[in-house]
Amino acid sequence: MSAEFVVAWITTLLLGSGLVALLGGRPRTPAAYAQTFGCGFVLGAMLCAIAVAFAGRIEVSRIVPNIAPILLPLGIGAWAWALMRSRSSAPIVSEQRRWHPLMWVLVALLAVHAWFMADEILLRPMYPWDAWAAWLLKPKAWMLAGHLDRFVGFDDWLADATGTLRTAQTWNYPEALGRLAVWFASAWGEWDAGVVGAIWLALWVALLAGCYGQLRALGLQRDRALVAVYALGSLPLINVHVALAGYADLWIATLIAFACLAWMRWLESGERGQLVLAVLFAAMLPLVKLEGSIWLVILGGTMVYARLSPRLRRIALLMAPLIGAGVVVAYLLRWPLIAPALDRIGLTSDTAVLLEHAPAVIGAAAEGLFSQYNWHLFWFAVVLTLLMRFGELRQSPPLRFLGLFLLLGCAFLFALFVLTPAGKWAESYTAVNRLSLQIVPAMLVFAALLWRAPQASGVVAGDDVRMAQATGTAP
Amino acid sequence: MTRRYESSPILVDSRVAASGGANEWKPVSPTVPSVRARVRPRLRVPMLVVLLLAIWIGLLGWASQAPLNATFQPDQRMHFHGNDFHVVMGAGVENGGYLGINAVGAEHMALQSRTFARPIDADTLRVLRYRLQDFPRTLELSFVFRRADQPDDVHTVTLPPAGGSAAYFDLADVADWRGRIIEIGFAEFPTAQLVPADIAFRPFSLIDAELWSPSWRGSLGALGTDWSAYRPWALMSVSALGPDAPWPHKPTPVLLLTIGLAVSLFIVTIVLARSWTWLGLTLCGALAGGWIALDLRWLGEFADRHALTRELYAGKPWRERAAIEPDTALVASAARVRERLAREPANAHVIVAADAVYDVLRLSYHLLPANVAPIGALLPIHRREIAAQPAMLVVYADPAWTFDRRLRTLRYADFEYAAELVFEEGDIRVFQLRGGDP
Repeated sequence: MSAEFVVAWITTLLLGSGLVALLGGRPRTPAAYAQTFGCGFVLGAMLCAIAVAFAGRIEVSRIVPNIAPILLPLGIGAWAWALMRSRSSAPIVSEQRRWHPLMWVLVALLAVHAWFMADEILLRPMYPWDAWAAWLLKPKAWMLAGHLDRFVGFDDWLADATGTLRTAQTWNYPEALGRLAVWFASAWGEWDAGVVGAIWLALWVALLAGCYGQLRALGLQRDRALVAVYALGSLPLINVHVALAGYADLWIATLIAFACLAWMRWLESGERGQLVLAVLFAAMLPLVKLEGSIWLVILGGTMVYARLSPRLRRIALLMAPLIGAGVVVAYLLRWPLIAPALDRIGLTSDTAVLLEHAPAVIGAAAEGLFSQYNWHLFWFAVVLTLLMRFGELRQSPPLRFLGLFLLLGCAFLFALFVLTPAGKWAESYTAVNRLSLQIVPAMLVFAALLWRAPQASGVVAGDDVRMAQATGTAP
Repeated sequence: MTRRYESSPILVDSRVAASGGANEWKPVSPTVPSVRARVRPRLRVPMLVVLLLAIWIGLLGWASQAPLNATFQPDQRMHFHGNDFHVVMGAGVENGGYLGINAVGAEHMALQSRTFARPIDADTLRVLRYRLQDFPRTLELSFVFRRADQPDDVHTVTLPPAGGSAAYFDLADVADWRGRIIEIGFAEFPTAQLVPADIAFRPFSLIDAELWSPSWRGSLGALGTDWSAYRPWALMSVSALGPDAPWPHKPTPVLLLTIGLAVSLFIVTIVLARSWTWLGLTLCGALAGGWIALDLRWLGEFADRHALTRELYAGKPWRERAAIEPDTALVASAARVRERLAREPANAHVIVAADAVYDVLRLSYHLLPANVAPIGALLPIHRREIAAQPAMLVVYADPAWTFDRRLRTLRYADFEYAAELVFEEGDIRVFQLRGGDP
């Protein structure tokens, strides 16, 4: 392991965690540290990837030496600022009660999961299809060729005489993960699937740590937060996406979950830094995967909706179904602009085809969620939680906003699979579970927050009158 | 300290919150009155036990698809020792009653079969019980058979791998298992897209096999085998766990546990007249227990999958591990092409064509750092660009691309290119494209 590789990891962690500490406040409890470093790793990783994108056609051996001297001081500076700014604050006393023995069992089980995933990652060459065909093809090409060549369409590539352009079937996919992979691989000194895959293990740890810290900050009791984190870390399909590293879905899932948690903290306590974090995480979604833009629109739309005055919100609630119905009618009547635009995303107005395939698509999706080995009993737990804690949901406007986002997300997935040719990916059990994975962590933290003790939930900040007013019109 | 651990750390707060007291628990929702009022107290518990037994037996019967009229033990069994099978492909040796397989044949495949002088009735014998010793995780196991009505067709179905203890498979799940069967057998080959074919084989023994008439034991055995058998990693694994194992499946324990626990607790609530709150909290507890049980099952499965990874890659440096790819032939072809491409200009464009999309993308990946592109976007309109830039076409195992050496013309469907054949070895051909009409 070279010093450069260590610097790459430290830079990633310090930069992200420094910014999180700066925006969210200096961590003072174990949970706050978990949140700072968990969310910080993801933020830092994405920022490093963005920095690599700005480096142009740089030699791969110069990536970390050129970029780390800029980012590392930024990270250190952010930490120093965060520490100095909160020096006068009284330290927060963390919970001293000993862990219940059952909690140790859960932690031990998570450690077993982690060991299997780590060993699988470190040993196996790149395995899953899209890892080598899409997401990690570019960084491997960059590493082996020695330069960050630009990927272009086939025509541009063929017309290029310089040999500095490349192409691929997935040339137009977002490149953040590829650039992140080359950030670490270049620091390692050669293309090694284990080194690249380790980023996914770090992501899993960061996801669990970030969720734990944020759930605790949102008032979920320690044992319950730990149960939620165990539930998240034990989900088989998430384990597979870590062990067979290389897919982008877990990154999307993590960004959505972190954005939602930071947004919830802002809604409940009015911490502006958390709003900035929420916006940052949400804004990074399109950098990871194409559908990230759609998640950004849905999440951004819900966040804006939550900030509207009660009157505007009522109008929006009335208008949304009308607009939706109008779009459907315009599409079915083949109105110009609308119909061709929806055609482009693969929507079909052939109701006979839709009706023919819809039962199979819905059946396959339900099988993936409720009957296969992908999610243990997660979706049943969500249903049971909603049944048992519906009162809690009714009393908490922030949770209702989060619920609205998840509802819209589910509606998007439903429309994608039932109303477009993407339904064939549901029937073949392929994309349907991977796209569901993208909202599973957010769904899990939503369900976990419904189990807060009554005094911990609801509106926390006394000065956020808007939220109190919102109670009546939240969805 | 002990008192703190006496109750669940998860549910206790809900109880406290619901009842409003720190140390007392009172049901807050009305109890379920019906059955308790009508059934004598002495009968309630036996009735509950009977009901729960009936539910779980019914559920297991549904999940295993056991015929309702079947006996517990099979009425008919047809037993074959390992050495009743003869080696068709590969090499084997009789070892007592076992058939030891110690080599594979063509295409890294081994096949053992048993023919019947008098055909057997598929509808009568619908459960396969089989045992193998030291069956390696690197191989995929298949059951093969031929029917009297189609003696030239060999039907194949993938089986869950078996160890020394018996595995069961429900042949009723195989549509082709019908009519009169004239031959059965087992085939073994490297697990596709996971294990390099040239290093996959390890010796193993076929202990015995049996064909059973329908029975609860056979159906439950098939259910148990489906739930517990080793499932290798597959390309499908990142999308769906369950369908990634290539044999017909039974309902999963996820579904069985959920239905069983929910129905059982609902009945307990009714019979013992518990409150709906009790039902909800108990369901939460049962769900947590079920979750842990499923997680332990998953960890076992994960450990099984990981054992193969360790077997193939542990203790080797990265460069050695990187060469152990499931598509050995493609890797070797790519290495030869890379050597050839080293003589081309640095800005040469390399277009990759093959019969299968997997091969195109995989070869593109293996050819890196060459400046490669998959064939998909190459059209006749690109002839001018091809003429302007040095472009190579790598064709892998695709006879649809034909080359006329006399006219120096490469054809594929409606496309036609002027080209030179610059390299040919085995399945791989490399052309220098000159563009324009030939």
